[in-house]
Amino acid sequence: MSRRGVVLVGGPDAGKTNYVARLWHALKERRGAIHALTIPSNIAYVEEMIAHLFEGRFAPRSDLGSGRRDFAIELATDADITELVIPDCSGELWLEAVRSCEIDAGWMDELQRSDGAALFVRVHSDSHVDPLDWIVSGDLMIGLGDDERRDEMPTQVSLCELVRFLEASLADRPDGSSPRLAVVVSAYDLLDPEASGRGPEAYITRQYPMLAGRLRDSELLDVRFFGLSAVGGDLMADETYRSTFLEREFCDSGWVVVREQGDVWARRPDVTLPIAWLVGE
Amino acid sequence: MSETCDVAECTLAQTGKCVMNNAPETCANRVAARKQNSRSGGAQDVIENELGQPVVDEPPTTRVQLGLSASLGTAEVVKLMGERYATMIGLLGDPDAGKTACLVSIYLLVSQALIEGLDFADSRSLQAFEQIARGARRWESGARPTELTVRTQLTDNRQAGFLHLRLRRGDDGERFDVLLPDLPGEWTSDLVRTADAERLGFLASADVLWIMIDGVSLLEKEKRQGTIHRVQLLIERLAALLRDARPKLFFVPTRLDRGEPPAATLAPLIATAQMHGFDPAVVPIASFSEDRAAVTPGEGIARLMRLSLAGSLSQDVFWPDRDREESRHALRYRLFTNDEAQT
Repeated sequence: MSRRGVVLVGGPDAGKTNYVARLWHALKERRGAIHALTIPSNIAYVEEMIAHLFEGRFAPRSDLGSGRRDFAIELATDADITELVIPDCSGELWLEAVRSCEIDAGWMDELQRSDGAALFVRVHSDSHVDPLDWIVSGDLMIGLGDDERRDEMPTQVSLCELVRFLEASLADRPDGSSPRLAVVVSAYDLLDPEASGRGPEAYITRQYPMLAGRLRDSELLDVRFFGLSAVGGDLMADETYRSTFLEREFCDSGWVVVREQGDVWARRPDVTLPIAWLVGE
Repeated sequence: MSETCDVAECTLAQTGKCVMNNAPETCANRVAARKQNSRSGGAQDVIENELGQPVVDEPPTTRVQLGLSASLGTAEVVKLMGERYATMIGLLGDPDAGKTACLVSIYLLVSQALIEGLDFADSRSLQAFEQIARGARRWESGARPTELTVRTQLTDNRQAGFLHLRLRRGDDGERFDVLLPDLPGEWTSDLVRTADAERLGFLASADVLWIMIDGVSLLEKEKRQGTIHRVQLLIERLAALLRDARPKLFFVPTRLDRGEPPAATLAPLIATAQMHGFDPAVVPIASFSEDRAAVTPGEGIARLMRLSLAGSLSQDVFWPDRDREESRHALRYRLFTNDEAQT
């Protein structure tokens, strides 16, 4: 049996937890690109998270105090059995890593045992920090402005630093090729049709030009972009959608956006696709 | 022992007695307040036992360095230059000429994708740029660095070192690594006043020199002549320091938003530079702007970057100019001997 570690990276509200819950369901349904071989013995955490989704609510932010809850599941693949392990890395852990440029040895070990990572970036995130501009910088440089602004880090700078950490730590894939990075633009359903149609890579290029440039420059990672809507709409703000969602079959909600032949972006109902690519051939 | 209590009126801290006549050890309000105070948000929670000694809840964990993106020390610069071709730009000028503002403005332009045709690809000193742009790292008076650092540390004071940018040209995907030294202005003044060139030896490897001049001082009658005089001295010192090497030279009058110095003012500088074998160009810039309607912040910088990299565009990277190659060897030698001198 081969163990494949996939690390989920991103800030506290980037959508990692909701994705894992939704992914769990899709793996269990066995209709996507990757299937669960068996139900894992310890599913307490993912079951707790998915319970929120079943009731038409997003799962709350990860509770830091409860110890590690890695998600490990055996996948049915063509070759031997693959054990997919998604270590439980909180958004706060990544923020702290960027701030201090340090990480616990245990987490470094997880990174070094993983050959794939999914970097989550949420559309219209509340925790988005704009890049510095001349007005703010000018004030800060002459001593005006408060310490909080002085210590803020723009989201795109944090994301570039995360890419740097991943380049330095992820392992090569079993066949010797570069580790893979799936850039997952979550809450993709919040984009208007025009922006949505341009695809997740164009979204990153517009919103986070430094990150887009950094990813294009990376010679150490094999990068692919995905759009993601874990449940197909905004359960919090859109009551109409929430009703629709509760009426239908759970497995019919949620989708990903992938690049297909001819550089066209298409919506697919299989939410396992990003992970399937990360662990696939 | 923590004396705080949730209840505002409680005088436990002053009198040792609970206002509700509860036993302090078991009063629910005090226990709750203590838990609140002891939550640190970090990996370790400290819980006080009854004797008031802190007891560590979890064993301390080993931390691993992920590598800093601070300004590059000499060893890192040498390593980078060994890996790939890098354009080194020497920024010189008086302390208030506007060097730091220029570095910040370059960073702001790049981070907002405002340099047409040149996109951000990477920076190994990303957090250093961010901190300088937030005024979080200033040259502390009395603690200005006296030499280029060998190893960089993220400390409160800035360390003299290099900022790094990797840019990608939109047309053809060509990439350029740019090194910009982050130095106190005093190093230039010292070069002028006392020919102190020891710390500036790396300039012999510079591909491009930017001589930053406070544009306002060129417009003010009382300051103009002194400024011209000092820049002429600087050119002469540089010519001596560089020996035969003649990198591309730019005069960069700053604070363009306050007015553009007339060509006649700069003529003596151009003449001096030409006399010493340079082929100078003039590119005025406004790193920031007090009149955004008239002059955009960052004006002139894109042009300065493009002209500075223009030589690199046509350069055949596999067969670099022999003189430059030799001076890079000289740089490595000097830097390595400096390293050894440190240890």
